Amino acid sequence: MTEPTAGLGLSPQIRLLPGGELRLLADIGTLDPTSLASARQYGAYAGLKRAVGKLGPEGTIAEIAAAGLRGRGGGGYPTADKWRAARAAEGDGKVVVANLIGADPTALGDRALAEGNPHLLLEGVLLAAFATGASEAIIAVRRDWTDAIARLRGAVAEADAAHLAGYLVMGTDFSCVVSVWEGAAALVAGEETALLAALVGDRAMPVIRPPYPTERGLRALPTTVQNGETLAHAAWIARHGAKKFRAVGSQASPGTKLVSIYGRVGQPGLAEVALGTPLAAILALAGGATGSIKAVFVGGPGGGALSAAELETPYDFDTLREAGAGIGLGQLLVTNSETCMVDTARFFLDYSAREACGKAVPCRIGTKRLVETLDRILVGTPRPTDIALLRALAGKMSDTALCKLEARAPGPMLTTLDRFADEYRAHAERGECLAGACRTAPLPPLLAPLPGLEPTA
Amino acid sequence: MRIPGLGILKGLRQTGRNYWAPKVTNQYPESRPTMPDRWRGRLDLIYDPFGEHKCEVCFQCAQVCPVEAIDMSGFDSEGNRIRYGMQEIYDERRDPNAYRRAGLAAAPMRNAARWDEAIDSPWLRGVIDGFGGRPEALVAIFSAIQERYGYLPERALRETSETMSIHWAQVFGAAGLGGFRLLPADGHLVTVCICAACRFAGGDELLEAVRAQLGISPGETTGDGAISLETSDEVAAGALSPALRIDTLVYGPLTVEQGLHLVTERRRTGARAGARA
Repeated sequence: MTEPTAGLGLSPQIRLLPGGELRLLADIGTLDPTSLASARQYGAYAGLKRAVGKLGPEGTIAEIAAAGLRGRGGGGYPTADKWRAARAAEGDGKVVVANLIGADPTALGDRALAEGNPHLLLEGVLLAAFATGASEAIIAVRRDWTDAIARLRGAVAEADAAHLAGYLVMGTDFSCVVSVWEGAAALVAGEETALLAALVGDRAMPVIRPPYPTERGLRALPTTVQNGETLAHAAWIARHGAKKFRAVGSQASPGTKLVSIYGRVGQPGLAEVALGTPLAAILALAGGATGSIKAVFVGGPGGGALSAAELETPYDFDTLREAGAGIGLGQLLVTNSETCMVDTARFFLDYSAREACGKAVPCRIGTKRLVETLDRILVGTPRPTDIALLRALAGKMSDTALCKLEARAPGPMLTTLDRFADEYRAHAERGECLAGACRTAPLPPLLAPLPGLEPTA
Repeated sequence: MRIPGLGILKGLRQTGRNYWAPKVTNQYPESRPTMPDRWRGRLDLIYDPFGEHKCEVCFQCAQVCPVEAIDMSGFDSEGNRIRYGMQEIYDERRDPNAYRRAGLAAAPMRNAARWDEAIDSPWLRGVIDGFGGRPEALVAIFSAIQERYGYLPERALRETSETMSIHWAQVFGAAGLGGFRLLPADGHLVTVCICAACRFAGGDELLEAVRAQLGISPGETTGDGAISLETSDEVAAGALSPALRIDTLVYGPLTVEQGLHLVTERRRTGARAGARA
């Protein structure tokens, strides 16, 4: 446990990069996160007031729909659709869960929001509760973010006292009891059904969907599970209006996204960029790549790699999905010519294997077998069928996946296999690393070249 | 009064009844016998076409069995003998140090006394009461236990299970996830972060250097018991990468020299503290 952060700032783990399109991060640093009065000076709860006083629940959902907000947790599912489904669902009581488990420890966006502007998050939570008709809200925070937990608890207490949360919000008949829950620090705990299981004290393992949590979630009540950043965006929309939200971003996915840039860059850190910004422009915020850039791994362990030639790809849910990657929680890992792609793919798969909860067999055993197969390739002693095995196993895992984490775990391996086949081949046939990064002893070449590998270019 | 041969006659009467009774053959599967609700068939391990057991010795069945009726042992894919039992099931077969759980002599158990550490029951009950005994507070309770003991002792988990009336399997399963230590560490615990951010900022070299300096691999303890080395991707160092955690404090961003200096310095002071005590 680290010492509490002094003053108004964020934990030293979070470095905000200058530039970009600042919305959620705009007030962080100047606003006092421990004071409601300070937050209100920056317009906190104006959006909630507008929603509760003027728009009404349906109007709020319509506003979010007009803004075209999509879930920032990686799926990109339209937030308004989710809220509408939760609103339409029958149940004696509904719940909103804000997901700040920060599944991947390298994604810093939610942590920065919780530490720097907890009232913005809380306003988003209340807004979601108001729109879906929920009377209970839980903010689930990763347990080692102690500052974030303390500041959120403080924010909830202050808002309760000021009748902005809790019973009879702002003198209306809308009530929502908000609590802050500390959860396990694990990749799978960020998956929405696993989070709901953990919230009742079970082990965090995903449950098959449907029924979706919006129909039957926590304690069998209709539950809206929403990423923390999405809720903050919702609060921003309620405060500034849908039209202003659409001012930046692409047509299909307007608005901004918090991205964590790390790896071989000048200045790793957290930035806020408009969706649809070319990847090259995002990397420029972090001081550009050090060395000659080889690939950008977008979306962490569930994403994929884009080669240097694809740096003009817009950073957007759909374009990245088409490229075989994904937006994930906004992670961007930059690699340069000294990074071995096979080894990087193995690293991500190994992470997925270690973090696998073990419920679904294709995931628990599949990730392990993929790592073992890559290990054989890395040291230059593959079996002739190994490349075919990688693809077949990856396909099976995606087809039979219980949760998104499993379905997307082979992503880094598949995208590098497509784009950097020559590196795989050099490792497999000669035990040689083209990047010069892996310590493998050179081996005599195999008699026959491996089938399944087509030369690039 | 005993009549000789009566027992034989009684037996023969039964035989005779069965002999003349109509014979019934159930036409399975068209007609099926009614089985008790909880009948699950005969438990057996199935075989693959090569005659090998298909069981992966993953302990999933043993972990979820609510009455703890399943006990098992076998070999994992790396050939380590593993068995289901208290010290073994943490992170079970994914842990390369399976020998330690198997009780094999590969690494002498340095702190045998701590495996069955006594815990402060009133304190634990107080913590549980503080959370109202609600099952959703399990993670928070684990956090408190880990903060006090540095890991989750088995007795603490057993007592949590009993006090809160939650199945042991559920308590144990929840504890197995989320960066909790289930085994005590000797001396200072040095954790090198291997998350993507740290690794690609030079965490690889840092780990290699620390490993060479201490002469041990992650998961092991130095000969004098002063330092235990571990890797984790849950240090959550972010911009501090590459980072290293000593006990609970995170240090970063570190060059290799700084990292080595920290470890040696901690080892020196740690040894001195030990000498005083």
